[in-house]
Amino acid sequence: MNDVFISYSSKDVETAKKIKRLLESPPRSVSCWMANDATITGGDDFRSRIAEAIRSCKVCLFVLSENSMKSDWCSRELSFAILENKPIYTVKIDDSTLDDIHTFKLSCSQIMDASVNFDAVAEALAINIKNGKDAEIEKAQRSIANSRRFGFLPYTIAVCIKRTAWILLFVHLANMISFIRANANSLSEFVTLSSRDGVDMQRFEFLCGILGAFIAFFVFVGTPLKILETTSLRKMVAASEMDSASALYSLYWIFTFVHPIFGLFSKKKSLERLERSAELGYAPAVKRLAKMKKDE
Amino acid sequence: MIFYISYANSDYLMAQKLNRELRLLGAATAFVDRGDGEMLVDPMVDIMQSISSCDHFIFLHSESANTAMLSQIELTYAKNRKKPITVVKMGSGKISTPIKFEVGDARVIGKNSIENVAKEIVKIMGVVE
Repeated sequence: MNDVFISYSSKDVETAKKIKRLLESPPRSVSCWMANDATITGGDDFRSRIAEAIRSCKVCLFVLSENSMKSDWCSRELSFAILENKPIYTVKIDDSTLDDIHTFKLSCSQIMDASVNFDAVAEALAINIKNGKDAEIEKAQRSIANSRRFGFLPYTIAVCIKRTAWILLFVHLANMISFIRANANSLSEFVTLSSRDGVDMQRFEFLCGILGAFIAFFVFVGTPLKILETTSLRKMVAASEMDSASALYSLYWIFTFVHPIFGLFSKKKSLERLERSAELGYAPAVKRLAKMKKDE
Repeated sequence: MIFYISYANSDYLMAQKLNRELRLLGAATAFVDRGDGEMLVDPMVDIMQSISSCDHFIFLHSESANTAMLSQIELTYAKNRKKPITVVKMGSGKISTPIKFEVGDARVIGKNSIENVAKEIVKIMGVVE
């Protein structure tokens, strides 16, 4: 990784090389990258090489001149550096006047006039780059990197708890429905039954109690979980990172919902549940099983 | 009155929504659609011309906007062109020093919902009576 990407017009190559030499010489020792025969060999995709060089450098140094303002390549490099959030340093090497588009692109860049004293400009540049003039930007970027790290963990925890709670709730509801179906032909029939009919009402009350616990969980814990999830997600979005794992969790959640549905309505599973209920002594289940065998 | 919406790449969806809401309220906007940052063409000329032609500059602030070079360039350029500025805070993050310096005493709208933000903007500007 180099410190500086130097964007220059080919007509200003000697000046650009001079700036590079001054920056790289001790004690400044600022490492520089500029597109030339040494950095881009025949057969290379030079556009990718340049883009990669801009991405990997810490700052972009724009050698401003009449030639570079007219250069399409320089324009592209400068725009790319801006879009990649690279701090831009500008060294003016002639007495050209900024055109409109460069006035726009360089509005946040300090323009140093090197037409008089190259050495002083190189010194100022090196100090700025080395001492972290853009420390605030680096600090903010570190903060975003931290957000990304700490956004993912709370988000994952919140999503896991919610998904698990939903899965358990659905399994529990399936359990309750199985219990009702094992003991009656319909919900209205079940409502009229009591323990005198051989129905284990205590067990049913216990199942209802658990359902109540689930409802209470979603009411009291659901909202804080949602807030945690949303805040963490916003942090990750701010860090330009979406959690692809949430897509996997959603798929897992959907699969877990679909699987019990098939089980619930499959004939084979219904018969197995009925036989199990009959073994446990549920009178309606025994009656129903006897009726089914008689019909067969 | 034409509004220009400045946004960081990661706030693209919010910016797009704000643009839509403003248009639904009858406001004209100059919105440079950069997608989520992957652009095939250089947007700089469009951005520059849009800011130059706008009557009001809306800056969507977020943690990403604090460090986005393009957002800062847009803001500085708008300031240099003496465009009135409104800052919409997308989250609870602090506004960085360079941006604070540029926005000065510009109006700051805290994020409520995008719909309410759009309504507040047009109400302030008197676009919709």
